[in-house]
Order: sequence, then C-alpha cells, then structure tokens
Amino acid sequence: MLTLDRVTSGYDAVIVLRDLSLSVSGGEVLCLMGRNGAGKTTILRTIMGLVRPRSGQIRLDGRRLDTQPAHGIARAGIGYVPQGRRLFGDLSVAQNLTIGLMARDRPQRTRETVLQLFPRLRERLNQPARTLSGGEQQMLAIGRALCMEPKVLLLDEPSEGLQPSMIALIRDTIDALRRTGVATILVEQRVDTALAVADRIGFVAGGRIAECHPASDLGPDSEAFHRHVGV
Amino acid sequence: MTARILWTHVGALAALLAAHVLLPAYHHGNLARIMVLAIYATGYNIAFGYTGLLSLGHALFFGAGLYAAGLTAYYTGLPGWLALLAGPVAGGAVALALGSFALRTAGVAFMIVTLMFAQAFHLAILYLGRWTRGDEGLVIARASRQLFGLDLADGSVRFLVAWALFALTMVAALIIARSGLGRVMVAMRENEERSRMLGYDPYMTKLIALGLSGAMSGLAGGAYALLFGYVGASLASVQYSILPLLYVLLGGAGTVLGPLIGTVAMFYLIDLASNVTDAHQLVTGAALVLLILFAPRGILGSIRDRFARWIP
Repeated sequence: MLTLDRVTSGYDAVIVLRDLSLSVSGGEVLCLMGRNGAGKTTILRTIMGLVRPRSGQIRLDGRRLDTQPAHGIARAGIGYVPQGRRLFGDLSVAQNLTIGLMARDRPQRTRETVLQLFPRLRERLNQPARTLSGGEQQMLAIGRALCMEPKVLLLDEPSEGLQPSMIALIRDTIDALRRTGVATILVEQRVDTALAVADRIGFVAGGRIAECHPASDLGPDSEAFHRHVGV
Repeated sequence: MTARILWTHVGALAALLAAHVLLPAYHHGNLARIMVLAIYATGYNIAFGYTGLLSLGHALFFGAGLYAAGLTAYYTGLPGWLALLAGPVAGGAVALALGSFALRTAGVAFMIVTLMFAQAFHLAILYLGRWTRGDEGLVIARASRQLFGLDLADGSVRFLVAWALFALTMVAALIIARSGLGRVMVAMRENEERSRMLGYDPYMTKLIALGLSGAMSGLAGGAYALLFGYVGASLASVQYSILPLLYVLLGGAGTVLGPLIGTVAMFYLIDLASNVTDAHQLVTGAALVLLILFAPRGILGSIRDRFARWIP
C-alpha cells in the first residue's frame, strides 16, 4: 500500500500541496481530478521524489520513500509515466524497453508480457522511439514503466491527445493491471475515462484531496465533477 | 553483434593498415598521430557523445596520461609497458577524482568547473618547470621508448603500435556502446530526469562514463608521449580540450567510428588548408560552420540518420 500522510510540498516559495493525505492499495485504481493548477501532477512528482516534501511522510508497504532519491523510489517499485511521455527518442523501441527491464533487473519474459499487452510495439521494435505515433509513444511509455514490474504505477493524463481507439486500449491496460495487483494513481481530465476505470475518484483542490468518492457512487452528471472539474 | 557491424569496424581497421602499405611515407607519421588523437576523441565521445557531458577540461586527462607516462619513461627507466600503463591509470584516476565533485554540477557550470581544473593543471605544469620543463617540455630518449623490445621511435613500429592501441580502444568503445551501461549512458544524455524515474542513478552513471573517458584520454596521452617522444605543457593547454570536441562533432557524436572519421577529416583539412594559405584556421572554421548548418549530427551521424540506422 502507498500512503501519503500530511504531505506538504511545492516549488521554491510556492506551496502547492498542503497537508495532503491519500492512500492506494494493490489492485486499486485511484483517479485524481481537478482544475488546472490544482496540484495533481505535483502529487505524482512528490511521490516520485522529483519535488521534495517539506513535511509529512510517504510510505510504500511501510517503507519510507520521502527520504530516498528519485532513482531509489523507482527501484522501490514506483513506476511513473509523466505527461508528454518523455521517451528516449534516439533509442529504439526494444532499447527503451530494455532500459526499463535493466532498471530493476527484470527478466526478458517481462518484456514479452508487455509486448502481449501492446502487440503494435512488437512490429516497431527496431524503430527509433521518436518516429512512433502519439498513441504508440504512449504505449511505449507505459510499457517501459511496466517492464520495471512496479507495485504502484503513476499515470499522468495518459489519454491526452489520443484517438478514441487508443484511449480504449489504455483503459483496457489499466484494467489488466488492476487484475495483476498493481496499484494505479491516474491523473485524468476525461470524466468518462475516470468513471470507466477508477475504483475511487479523488478531487484535488487547494492542495488537498477535497473530496474522494467510490467511482460507483458517481455519474457523469454528479455535482462533484461540476464543483472540481467544471463540467 | 550483427555481422555488418562487426565487418564495418574490422573494415575500418583494415583500411588503416592498408593506408600504411599504400600511402607514401609522409602519411605514416600523420596517421600514427591521427590514431592517437582518435583514441583521445573516442574517450571524449564516451563522455560527450554517449553521456551528454560537455567537458571543456579533457586536456587534464590527456595531460595526466601524457605526463604520467612521459615522466615515468624520462626519470625512472621503468619498462615501457609500465610507463604506457601509467597513462590510462592516471587519466582514469584524475577523471574519477574530478568527476566526484564536478558531476554535482551540470550544463554550463560543469563546463566551467572542468575548464578551470584543466587550466589549473596546465599552470601547475608550468609552475613545476624544474621537473616538467614547462612549455619547452621534455624529449624522451630513444632508449626509454621501448615496448616489449620494440623501438617506438621507428616509424613502422610507431604506426603499428598506434594502430593496435586504437583498435583496442575502438573495440572497447563498441562493447561499451552496445552494453547495458552504454544504453543507460544514452538514456542519461537524452533525458536525465526520465532515467532517474526509471531507477538509474545519474551521478554514478556519469562518474563511470567520465572514468572510462578519462582512462581512454590518458591512454592517448601516454601513447603520445612514448610514440612521439615529447612531453610539453602545450599538449595540456585549453586547445587540447577543444580539439576532441571538434573531432567528435565533425565525425558524429555518439557513434563508435565518428571520432576516427572526425580526426582524419580535421587533420587533413588543416594540413591541406595550410598548404594553400596562412589563414588555414579560417578555412577550417568555414568548413565547420558548413558542417553544423548542413550535417549537424556530424559525418557518420548524418549517414546513420539517413541511410543506416544500424551503425552503432
């Protein structure tokens, strides 16, 4: 289980997260929603150690993460797919996946599992990552993170700018991960995607989780979406 | 390793040997010097081309190898192989020592820190003129330039030893480039933050890369001292920090054969231009500007991009 306990963090003089607490368990999908600038991405970057918490604690299965460097947090089992994908453009698809495998000494069969999840990547193994389409790049970014066999996967707006068929594929992938026991924190702007894949939806406002509901209690017209997402 | 990669590199080494047989004697000395400088550029390429570390202080590593080998040969009378070995050991050790704190900086700050230490080393050589003879330098006697019974002052021996050392360095670079470490180095160059998020320690990866780069640069310095019998402060000046950068940019950063191609091209460009005009640096500069405009990834880098993605 990943827990954030009264975490405060931000950039230089700007405090973005204020005493924020949340938790996500294995096999659970927590979707974070909120207006632009609410602090959704900062939550993910703080978990990854890219933004240092000023107070509070972050723990994975009881082990403190907030005292570790970013690469230590990744090795502890947190996979992060940031907004914009950030692939190694000059490396081939195969090399990008290998980098993911090597990071946590994972065997080649893990790559096979990823390629079964995203068969299109198999056709592009020797192609430089920068030449892939947007959807394929997103598949590769998620696939590379999965090569690390993370306990918790952080996805920052994975459906942004993708065509509907790709969005459906990403939803299926998140569902498949749920079944393997991976906990997922998903930052998402699309209400339909959030309702389709999340177990719980947390609404971020004022640097905190202002409300958190089981997704099954919400519908597309729920007041919470109007209050926090503006739809 | 695929057959075409293997044969491309074997072919490059064979071409260098063939040049020794086919070209007039004037080129033999040139090619020996080119191969030693190509070892240096190959070392620089590990740091800059693969890992993205833009150093302006590699003359420190080249100079450390040059003086470690040169002073050993000049003063101690130890066997040539020990003097030669002192080069990469000194270059690697100095690179690790410098890297251990210079790598806490990045970008422009890293360039300035490396430049500053290389300049301090250059000044130290001048200051310690009693032993180094400063700018005037030391000429190493022929008797001290023996390697396993081979006379390094002999033109053919010098060529073949330079070739063997270049071959060794090139194979090492090829192995590194295709290894897991090589891929992580490239990942670091492409996106350091992303690499960290995948669990890689940027500091340690860069330190290893700089250590390897320093060892290769030190080998080049040691080879230069013993093959050409001269050790002088000018060889550790800032110019020798800029040269490998130009060789690598010209040949193709992040390619195994690019440093050799860049060194050959730059060496002969200067050689030919200086036969035509005293303003040969102007010609060289114009050629570099054209290269940056039309082939910013260097000669081999452009070929790789356009025709042969498989070139390592």
